[in-house]
Amino acid sequence: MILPLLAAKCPPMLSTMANNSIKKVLKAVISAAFWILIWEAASLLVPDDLKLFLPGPVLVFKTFFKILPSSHFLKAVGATLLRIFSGLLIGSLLGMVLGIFTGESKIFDTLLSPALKIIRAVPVVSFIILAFLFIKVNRLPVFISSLMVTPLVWQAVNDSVKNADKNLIDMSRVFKLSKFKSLFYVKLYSGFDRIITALLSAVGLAWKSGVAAEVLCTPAVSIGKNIYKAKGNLNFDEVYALTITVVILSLIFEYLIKAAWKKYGKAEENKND
Amino acid sequence: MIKLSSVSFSYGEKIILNDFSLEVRDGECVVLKGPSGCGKTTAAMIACGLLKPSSGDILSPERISVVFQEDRFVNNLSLLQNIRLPLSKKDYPIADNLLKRVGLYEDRYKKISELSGGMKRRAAIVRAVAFNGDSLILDEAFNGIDNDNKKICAKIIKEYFLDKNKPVLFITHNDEDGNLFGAKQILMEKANDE
Repeated sequence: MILPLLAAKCPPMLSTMANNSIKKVLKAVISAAFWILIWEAASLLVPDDLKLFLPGPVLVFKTFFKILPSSHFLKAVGATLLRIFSGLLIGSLLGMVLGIFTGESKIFDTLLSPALKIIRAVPVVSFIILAFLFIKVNRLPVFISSLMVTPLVWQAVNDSVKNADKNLIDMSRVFKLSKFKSLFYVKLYSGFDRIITALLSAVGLAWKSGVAAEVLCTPAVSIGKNIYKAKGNLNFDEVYALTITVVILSLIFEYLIKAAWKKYGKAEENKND
Repeated sequence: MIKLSSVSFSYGEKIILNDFSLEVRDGECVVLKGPSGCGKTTAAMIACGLLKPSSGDILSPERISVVFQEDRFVNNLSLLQNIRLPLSKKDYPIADNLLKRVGLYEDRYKKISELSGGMKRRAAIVRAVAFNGDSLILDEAFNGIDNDNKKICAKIIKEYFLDKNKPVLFITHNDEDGNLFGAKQILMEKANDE
């Protein structure tokens, strides 16, 4: 009913855009509703003595909205947010710089590529345990999330630089493009879709590894410590509620990166004039 | 002046150019014709410094405008962004004017992937002309362009290069395109056949 109404009121292109947005939201709602139903069914099916470990969605969402306004929770969210954002930022920048170096220089490639591949393969828990000995608990999640993000972004940037179209590189030589223009527009810009995909994957990884580090090293104010405490007190509804918080924050980060990328694209187009 | 003297080039065992010579004087347009695989593009790439010959001498200006056989645009950028990429800001109005003349101004914000083959060729000519090199090399530049636009492009090339006493090397396999400039025509043969 709503769709034809919107289509009638809007110009053709806008109505198509509105239709697409509504379709996207509907798809997301249907998908979420489906999985919540499965969750509810599973929680009803588990034996009573195990219900503690798999509370139903109603109880979890109740707990979520109960803890949401508390200053203790908000402070923890703020602190974790800052740590993960810092880790993501440091890891992304480091990955980009290293990717450019290894993509452009064979010496750097020989020296750094094996190390970054090893970092990518080492289990995150091993890093957390080892880094715990040397790094303060407040900084450890930042270090761990940046360590997980760096190889991912490095690989994407490195591949973009190495696989840059030879024809375009020749074009940049003939037309005497500056080093910056050649690197940014010919080598990186052509591979930006790949880099953005890596960044989006990095967001999830940064949250996963950062919160895991918080759970293991329990900084005073953090979502990880709250998860650890809730688990200790057998408040599994709170564990789930806090996990949902992390998922929501991660999705917001992803959304912001996508939006920033879109906005950048539009700004670049407008820069034409 | 563009001058290749006794240039030879081969890809491994395959000889592409064997003792090939070519001279394009200032203000002159030379049309280089020949069958596919005879080495026309290789000669052009040597002239603009992208390929090194195994022997022979090359004399060509430092700054060369080139229309490559392939369009060589950055796909993620718009047509205008691609054309402005090698230009300094002071040259933007020249590029805008050229886009108007070849009928691409209204399409300037389109992504490269949204353009037809002929539009991309015209855009490549605009980029090369706006770059304002000391010579111009066109490799199958008029492929896919309609006759009216070919005439407009030829007029622009004459105005910006030949009238300014700059050499133009025009590579084509199409006789009609070659005749657009009323220029000296050189027919290349395959090096292996010689």
